[in-house]
Amino acid sequence: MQKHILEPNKWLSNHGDYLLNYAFSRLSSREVAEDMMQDTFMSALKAQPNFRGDSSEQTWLIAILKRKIIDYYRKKSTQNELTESKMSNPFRDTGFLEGHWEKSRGPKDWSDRDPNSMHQKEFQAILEECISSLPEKLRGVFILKIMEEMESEDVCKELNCSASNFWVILHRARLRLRECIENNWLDE
Amino acid sequence: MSKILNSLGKMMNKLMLSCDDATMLITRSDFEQLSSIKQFKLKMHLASCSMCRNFKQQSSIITSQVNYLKTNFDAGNFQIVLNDDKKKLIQSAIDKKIETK
Repeated sequence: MQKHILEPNKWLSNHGDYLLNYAFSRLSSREVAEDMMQDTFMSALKAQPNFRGDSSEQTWLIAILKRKIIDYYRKKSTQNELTESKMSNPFRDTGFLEGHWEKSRGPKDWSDRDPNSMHQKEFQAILEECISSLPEKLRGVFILKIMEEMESEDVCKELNCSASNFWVILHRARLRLRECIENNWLDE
Repeated sequence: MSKILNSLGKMMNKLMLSCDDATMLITRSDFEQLSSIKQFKLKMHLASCSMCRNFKQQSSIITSQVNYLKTNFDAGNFQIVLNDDKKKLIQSAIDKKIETK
């Protein structure tokens, strides 16, 4: 198999936009994504001797970027975040129907507006907006598990959460996300 | 009366899942095998709860759309690009670092 080589002077023109968009899709911020792309190139320059040429240049750069995204969310997870407000829970917290949907906040039927078959572009814009509005702690777990497809145990290790806490956080993230999307998607 | 309803509710919750529990299990089932008891409870719940059925439908829509979101730039349709000034800045930072090696 042919060995891959590194051409650092062409990194920006060959992989810049790719890395930038990779970072942007996972960090929801253009500013952070730009910094992280530049950071990735700087770390990669230092790490050149470690490149064995088994993978492509781009794959190798993405691996460095991924590590930085994990570190970003790890730092966020240790910061004290305001405790979740009661508002965020869409379930009744007392009475006979405790744990059942609040009537006004239950999921509606999306089959008339399934983005898999129409209006995908609008849906994507809403999806991005809603992901970016998640609190960082929820977003970190969501991004690493759903987008980076990491093992649950690894996500926990990186973000310092217990296994049961992991599912609660992912659960809360998905509840918020779907509610945010529904409020913006069906009302259009 | 409300006390009786409350304890009745608690008893039911032991036998049946709340929507909170059911949606959590839906999320878990996307990533791991549920025990057969949990699977059964979830099935029972979904049979009688249209909102949780909607949740399940939405979850799969969101997952497939997230998959699209995370790779849609693979084909080179970039959502954002660097402006030229920033490009120059980063390129010169890279060049500098290469030279000092």
